Amino acid sequence: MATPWEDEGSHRPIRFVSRGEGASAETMRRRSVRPLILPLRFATRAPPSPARGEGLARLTAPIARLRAVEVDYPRGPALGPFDFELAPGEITALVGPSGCGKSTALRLLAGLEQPTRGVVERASGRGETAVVFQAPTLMPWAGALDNVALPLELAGTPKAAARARAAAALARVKLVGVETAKPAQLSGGMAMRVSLARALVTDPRLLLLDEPFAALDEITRRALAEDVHQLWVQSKPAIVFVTHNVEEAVYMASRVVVMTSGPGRAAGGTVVEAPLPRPPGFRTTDPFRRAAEKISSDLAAAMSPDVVEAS
Amino acid sequence: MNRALSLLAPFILIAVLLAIWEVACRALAVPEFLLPPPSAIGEAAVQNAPLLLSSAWNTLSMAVLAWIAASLFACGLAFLVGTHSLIEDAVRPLAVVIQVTPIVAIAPLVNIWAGLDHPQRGVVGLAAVVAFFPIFSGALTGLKGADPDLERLFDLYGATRLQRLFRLHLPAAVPFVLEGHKVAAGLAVVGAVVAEFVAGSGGAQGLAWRILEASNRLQTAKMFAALLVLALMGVSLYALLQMAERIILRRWRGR
Repeated sequence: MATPWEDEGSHRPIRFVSRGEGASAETMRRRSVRPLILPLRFATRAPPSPARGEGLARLTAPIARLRAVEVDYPRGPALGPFDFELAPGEITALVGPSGCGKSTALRLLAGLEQPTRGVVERASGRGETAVVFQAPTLMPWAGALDNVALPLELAGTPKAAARARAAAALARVKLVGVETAKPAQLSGGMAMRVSLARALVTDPRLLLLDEPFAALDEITRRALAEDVHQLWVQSKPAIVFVTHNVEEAVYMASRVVVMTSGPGRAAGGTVVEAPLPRPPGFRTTDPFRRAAEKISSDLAAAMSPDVVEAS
Repeated sequence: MNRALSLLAPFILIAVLLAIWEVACRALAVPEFLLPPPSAIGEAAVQNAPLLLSSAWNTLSMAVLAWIAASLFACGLAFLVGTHSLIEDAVRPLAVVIQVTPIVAIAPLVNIWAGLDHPQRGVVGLAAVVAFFPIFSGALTGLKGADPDLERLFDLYGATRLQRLFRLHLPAAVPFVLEGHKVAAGLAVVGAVVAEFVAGSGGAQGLAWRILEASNRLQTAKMFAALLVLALMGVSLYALLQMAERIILRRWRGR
């Protein structure tokens, strides 16, 4: 059972830094003015967050941080400069139109992509970061249990132990009796639960959800949103939730960062003043409405042509 | 009722076409060497049944042998190529060359290499060349065709090369490999027939040789009978592989 990420404390400093390789003269100058904080040094006295519209002063070390990251694709700049910081146990939503770089930002946080410029600081241990994609992304040839056990087996956990933990993870997402069912035999909601179980099976400290409910119907989506909160209470991973649905963002996250496209940047942040998990009827309360209105107006402002030109 | 009708529809059409054929041949008194009526073809098929069946067996066994050889070679090469991108860059153009070269054009060469005393070897070799490409291409596509998000997941969990190969690329290739084998089986029969024609010596004694032989003797009905057996053989081979593919895929994806 001793997997590399299990036998250490839960509040370790970030110990992996990846840096954009094609650093421009401009960013080099910026670096010399504001020197890099190396990962080992920023334990508990992290400076105030640089993200715009940031309402929370954080006392704990962030679990992941993007510093002035920019990503260029062959077809043009996709993201940034973008600053983002995530405290342990925090649920943050990234909201924005399609193509605003939300998913790119998520892949940076996952370490699946490297920034063209800027710095990504993140926990790098195996299984410390988990991703749930928009599609369930299951192996069609493997049963639900084998799909969930995959991250453990890739890390070398013995098969029996991996399967036992996978079964427990399936139970956590309320799936029982589907162990041998293959993805094609599951409904969309069930497949997404299997995907969630696979992400949770390593007890990650950082859970990245890339529009995970986008393909589901409204009822399934709401049920899953509630379940994600229930699961979050159990182990308190930090969650980044990417969506283009304002209501879903407000429901899911304690902090919502609005992103604008072309290239993607932060265009405001909103703190949702309500407890997690959400109380019943939260969608009809004033805090919900206020936050949704603020985010909607931020989005509208970000989308208007003169703002795009000015940026 | 509707379902039964849709199942019967092709047979009804065939029956109607055969009837028109028969009536037209008799009414217009078409010479039998030009176009025999279906009844004469049936008669020729029954009369020559033992010969035709043993010839069909020859062609089929050569095609199947070629198919198996092509499968082994194509899968092995695809595996090698799929795991080493440099080899892929080197091999792909060559594979395309093999695919686009008309088999008839290389048949005489292969026959010489196989030895003029062993036309069967030439036939098997040529059929294998034809059957090679769909399997190779399917296997290679499959090996590289895993869901990109699954690839990212394997990145995320730090999978080794071997883990990625055995847990992602090989299983993901299964449907493509099956499809390639299905297409290749049909092509192997085509390749075998073409190679027999080119060999032309009668040494291979397959269905194509029966067609040539009957053609030389103006036994048109017998030619048609050989064609009929060839078509039936192709259809049953295809149906068999279709069924095998469906069964394996049902196990693979559970539905």
